[in-house]
Amino acid sequence: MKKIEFDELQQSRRNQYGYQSFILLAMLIMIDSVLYGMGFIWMKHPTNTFIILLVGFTYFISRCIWGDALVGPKESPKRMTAKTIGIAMFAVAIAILTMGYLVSYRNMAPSTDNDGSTMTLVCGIMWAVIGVVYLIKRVRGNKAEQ
Amino acid sequence: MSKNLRLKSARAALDMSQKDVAEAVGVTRQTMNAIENGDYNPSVNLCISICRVLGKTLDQLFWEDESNEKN
Repeated sequence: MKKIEFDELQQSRRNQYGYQSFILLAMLIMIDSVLYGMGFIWMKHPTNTFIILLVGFTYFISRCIWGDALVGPKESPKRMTAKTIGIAMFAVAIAILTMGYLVSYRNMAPSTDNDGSTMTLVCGIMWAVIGVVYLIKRVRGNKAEQ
Repeated sequence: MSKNLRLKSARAALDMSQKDVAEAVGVTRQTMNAIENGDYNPSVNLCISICRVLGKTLDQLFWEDESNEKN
């Protein structure tokens, strides 16, 4: 069995934030459905779901950073950085392989509508929010330690 | 919940920082800070680990009698 790497306060906070994120996602999906039912389409179908998912993800990660529940006590900064870079490289490799496979073997063409740019913009905003939360938390943490 | 000043003084008596105790116990410094400030109620297992590191008993660090509750 994999050992849990978070201490008990972190685990309880992560459970709490996960529950809040779930409620947030459920509420946003409900609001989206109601708006769609009323004829107000703010975004086309798969994109709106992705954006709602990204909002929930951003909320969870930001709350974890703010509540010191993102990284366990045994994680060193070097190991965490190496893991992050590894995951990012793995994600890029999977994206390139998938795109290559779809274009070469399935004769699919890249999308020409604005969904891709919208997703890129939302992803960028998500990472910016996470970065800002991390920076503010770090500055406050340094002041508290002093 | 009131601050746990006995925990803080026991730690200071051994000249240990919150980070030292946290590393010895296997939690984050923020968790130790929350326990000392009374923001978090630790489990019995964590209390025992802290007591072992600081060489104190549960009563000495965590038992709240009337005089302690007033603090």
